[in-house]
Amino acid sequence: MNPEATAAQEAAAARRNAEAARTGDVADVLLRLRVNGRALSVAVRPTATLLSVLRDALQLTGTKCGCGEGDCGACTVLLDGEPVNSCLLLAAEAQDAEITTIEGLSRNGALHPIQQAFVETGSIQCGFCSPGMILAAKALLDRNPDPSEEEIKNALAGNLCRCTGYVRIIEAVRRVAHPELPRRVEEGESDDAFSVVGKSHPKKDAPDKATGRATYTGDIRLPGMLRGKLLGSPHPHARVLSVDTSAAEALPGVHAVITAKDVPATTYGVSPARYDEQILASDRVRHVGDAIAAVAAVDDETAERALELIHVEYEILPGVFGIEEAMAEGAPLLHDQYPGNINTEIHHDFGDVEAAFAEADLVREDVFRGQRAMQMPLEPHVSLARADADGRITIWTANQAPHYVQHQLSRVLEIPMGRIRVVKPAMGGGFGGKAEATRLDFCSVILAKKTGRPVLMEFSRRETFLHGRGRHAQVIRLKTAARKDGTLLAVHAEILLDGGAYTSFGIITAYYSGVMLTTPYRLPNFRFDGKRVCTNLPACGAMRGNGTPQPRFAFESQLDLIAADLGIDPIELRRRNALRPNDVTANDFKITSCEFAPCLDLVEARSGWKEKRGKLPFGKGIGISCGCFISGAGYPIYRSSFPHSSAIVRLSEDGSSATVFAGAPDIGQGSDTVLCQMAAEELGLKYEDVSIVSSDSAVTPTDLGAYASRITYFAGNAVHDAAANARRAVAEVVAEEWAVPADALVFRDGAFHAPDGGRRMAIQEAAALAFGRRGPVVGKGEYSPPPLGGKFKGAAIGTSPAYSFCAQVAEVEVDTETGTVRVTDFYDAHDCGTVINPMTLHGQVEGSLVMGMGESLWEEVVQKDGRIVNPNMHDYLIPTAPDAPRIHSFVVKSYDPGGPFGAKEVGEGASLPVMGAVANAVANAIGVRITELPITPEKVLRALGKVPPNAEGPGTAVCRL
Amino acid sequence: MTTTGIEFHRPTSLEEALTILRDAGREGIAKAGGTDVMLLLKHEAVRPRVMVGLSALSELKGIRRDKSVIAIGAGTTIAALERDAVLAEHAQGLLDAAHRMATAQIRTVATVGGNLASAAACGDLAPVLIALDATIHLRSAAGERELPLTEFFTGPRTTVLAPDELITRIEFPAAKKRSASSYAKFGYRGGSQIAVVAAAAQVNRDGSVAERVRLVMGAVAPIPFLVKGASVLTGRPVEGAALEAACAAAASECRPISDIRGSEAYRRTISSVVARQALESAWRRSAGHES
Repeated sequence: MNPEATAAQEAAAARRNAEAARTGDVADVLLRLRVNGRALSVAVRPTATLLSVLRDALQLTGTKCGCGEGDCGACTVLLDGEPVNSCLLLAAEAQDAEITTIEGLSRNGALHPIQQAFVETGSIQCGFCSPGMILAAKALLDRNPDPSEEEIKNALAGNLCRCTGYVRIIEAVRRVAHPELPRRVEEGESDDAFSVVGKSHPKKDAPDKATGRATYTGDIRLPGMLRGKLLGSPHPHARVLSVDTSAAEALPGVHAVITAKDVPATTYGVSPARYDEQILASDRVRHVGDAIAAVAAVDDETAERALELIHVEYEILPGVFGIEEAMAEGAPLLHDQYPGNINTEIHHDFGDVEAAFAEADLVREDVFRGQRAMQMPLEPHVSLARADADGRITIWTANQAPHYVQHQLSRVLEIPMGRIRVVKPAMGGGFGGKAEATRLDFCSVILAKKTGRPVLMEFSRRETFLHGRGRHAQVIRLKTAARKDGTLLAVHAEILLDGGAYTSFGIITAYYSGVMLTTPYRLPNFRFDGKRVCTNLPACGAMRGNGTPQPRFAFESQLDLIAADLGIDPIELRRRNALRPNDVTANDFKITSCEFAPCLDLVEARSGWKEKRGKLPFGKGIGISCGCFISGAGYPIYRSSFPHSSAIVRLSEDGSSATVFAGAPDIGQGSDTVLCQMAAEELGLKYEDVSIVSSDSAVTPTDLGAYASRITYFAGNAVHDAAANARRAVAEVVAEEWAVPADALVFRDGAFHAPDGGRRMAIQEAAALAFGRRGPVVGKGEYSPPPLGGKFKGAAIGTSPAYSFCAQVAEVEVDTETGTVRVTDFYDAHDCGTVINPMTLHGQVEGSLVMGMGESLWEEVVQKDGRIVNPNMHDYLIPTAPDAPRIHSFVVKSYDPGGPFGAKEVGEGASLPVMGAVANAVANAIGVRITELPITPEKVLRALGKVPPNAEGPGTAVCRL
Repeated sequence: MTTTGIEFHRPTSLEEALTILRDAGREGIAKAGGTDVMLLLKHEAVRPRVMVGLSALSELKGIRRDKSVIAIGAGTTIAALERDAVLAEHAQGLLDAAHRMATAQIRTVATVGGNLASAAACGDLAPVLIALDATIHLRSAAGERELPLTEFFTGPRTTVLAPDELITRIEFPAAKKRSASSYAKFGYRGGSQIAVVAAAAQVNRDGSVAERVRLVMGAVAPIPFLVKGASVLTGRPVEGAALEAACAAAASECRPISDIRGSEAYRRTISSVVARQALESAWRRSAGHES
């Protein structure tokens, strides 16, 4: 996509293409490369990057592309042992060197020690950064076999990771240098209650990801495959007067060009109430990048050249680029159906808020602002579609909710779901940004149907920003009442959200922003007025915590202000108000297990809170913040009678192993691993003997997807159920064999025991017997939550069969000369029920904390007149390895009666409190509170009064303490 | 990025490179490490017909000390700077800058000449090299010229370099006894940091006072500039009121812009902080410098 192609660029392109047509393109050159010890010859374009040659010509797809601009390091390979970004290097320039890719590291099938360490320490989540990270580590260790922690961090500073928070990666490198170090005992490693559950098994997919063998969507190479690209609007708001694709269609190598007239007019989206997106814009574009046309061509370059040849005539319309601007009287309207640009409006009122304000000893009113942020998984969105001649469609898509992709493709393209196969291959993270059907999904299918060839479409990093779906910017006004003993009486929350041009998850996000404020503290009276506003910016969506982290930041900041007003210790204030087991909130959320107060006690003790709070020197601070999150949503996104999660477990014919078939998508968070652990536990098999096929609709039954932190609980219950049914099927045959009632059999230690205690048959032998007698040994399972929540409008949002809780403490150091905030330590105590896999659980917490730290301190999508200023990884700043703080992650003992083996969620919950914890720690450090995210050095310095107050610059909203 | 139609050459001699560039005229572009040029290509900020890769020109690589002059070939990579013993002794400021530039991957291929030619206002090497009194040597098929590095930059991303001209080397005097340089950089993240404000200092010490101080600011003006007011330190110890005055001069003489990386007022405010870090570091080093 080249949305901001200026007239000058277009003219230049036309000139150059005319020249290319006259002279013919420059000829391919034959390059001789040495890759992984082998001499190879490839004929490529002389300006081909090493990355493209490795991935396309040599099919060495372990080397990834995360940004194409030398920022992320996913494309790292070694050139004569030194790390380089293969995306910035021409293959022609690598001819004298020995090139090492990730595929060259493991020899004879054995993992290289660095790969082994990455697998064993839990350093691999989505794995998209892992090949580059491992090679960067190798370059370091080859030069410096015993690096210090600082040297490790600096050597890895060019390899961004969004999942792990780096702490385990740094540990992995240290372990390679010091193999004698004992294995880390993870907090929460279980006693002997279970055999497989509660143990820190390495992730199922980690070895493949460490070696570059894992196949991500963008790694798939099909015969005849074309590359597709989208043409986006260069204007934030315009009428499309005409589109001329004739020149593009005439370009050799172009197989198809489509515009609005070639695609169904049916609109799509996430919430049925607001399907407002078009596959390709027909008459109006509402943000820069809003797509008008799509092209399929023989390669990326040809597709890009074709885009340049599409001539679009626009009538530029005035746009709105901020909440207040969009709501102003007479502001330009984005959609006729959203008068005043109000996309969603919410009014909730529980208890008697006014009476509580009248009765209270203290009423505070404060305003906070959160920024537009992006998920930034290392893998950009990608889809690959194939259309069979009989009309069946297969789509491989990097998507968190393949079921919704299937649903929307079926709905919009009018193809029955059963004829659409959706496969989610290995996936490089999502964090909520890949939870809906995209234009890549629709257009790849339409182009595949039109051309008869497979079509692969990928977003560039920049395009991921233009696609949007990141965190909504919010303005949060909180009026809160308390008694002088700290008892919270009421909250009135008024929240405005900048939704961007379309709805996406926005209705849900808008509800979540308010409704979760009734947790994790008891709050008898609650009023929430919310508005989600449309602006001419890319649509916002469901980023980790979906709408809740910023209001948490606001409320947790305000709680510290209340604590100060009342002279109560901030942790004590929170403890006095903590939700308890079996509470029901004012807005009808039914709490089941709840060990929140123990979380506060634990984090208070482990962080040394009492020794530090109020005793640290100026510039050092410690802050508390808490959160509560759902273990899956109580209701699906569209009305459906399907189970929310379902699974099949099948024992092999010889009984030696089992396979789980589950729709639940592993997006890097490790769901495949925990589901295998649960199945193994139930079947009495070893972890190694259970494998999984997930997210392939041809063979796996439906699961709603990896959002709302639902998989451990929902899919876990389905898998648990399926495994139990598989075991029951085997038990029936054993009972028949022994002529005893099936329900009299005892199953323990992986074997059936006769009621008399005499006979014993191992599950393996029994399963083989069962297959011989009755054919395939399968069990199926499903899970849907019971009806939940109240009867009012929007009551469904925030309901869940179980809630997780956590308390977090951050410690910071503030450089009061430059305003730089450094988080030195995070302490997190979590109630997530039974821990299925402590290593992956802490991995989720660590990743959440570091992601939240980035949002607290730097991350912000900045726009000017509707154009994103920083659509890249060097000005949108996510944390790097040197930023990794010390992380102390704890779990409290907890058991949820409805969860599989007692488990609850952790994937998003840990991200909720982070911004509040950092903000509270900064306020504690410098005595001034910053109420707008992110807490940049400039804002800190302004808060300290060190920048001239009248100087132009970012917001200076502060509260004096 | 569309590179269709771009001819790529990878000459093995400087003469050959210069000939190709001469023939290509305004349609040619030189590519050293390529970490900047490739981005320009990807963003279509340049659309050359001919691209000349310089990575095979061994004559442009290497760091040499010839008596009192240190010469760095334009093709020398940043990674090579980082590991060079001569520089470690004579131009520690350059090592400060090299260590903190971009990422290990970029440093492997990015070159000294490329960094200067890209002329980004936030470039890391230029402030130090200016502090070190560097001259820059340019060559085209028509001949050679040299000029003080201060005269090389004409604005953000613009230099006096002609389209057919290449940087061949940088020269600067080797550090005298009791002199030292430093580079201080302020950026946001811990890694892969882009300078928001940078300062380089070079101090010649005479006993307990500075005989000569050069303070150069980066990222706070269209091009790196020498702080005139730093002359207040001449003949004084780099401390106390004189140090504060020099740092205040850095702040008042800078001409920063407001952009995503910081407002004009903020950059100006911390200019004095970063200037002080550079001056104090160079002053401290000059005390311990035995060569």
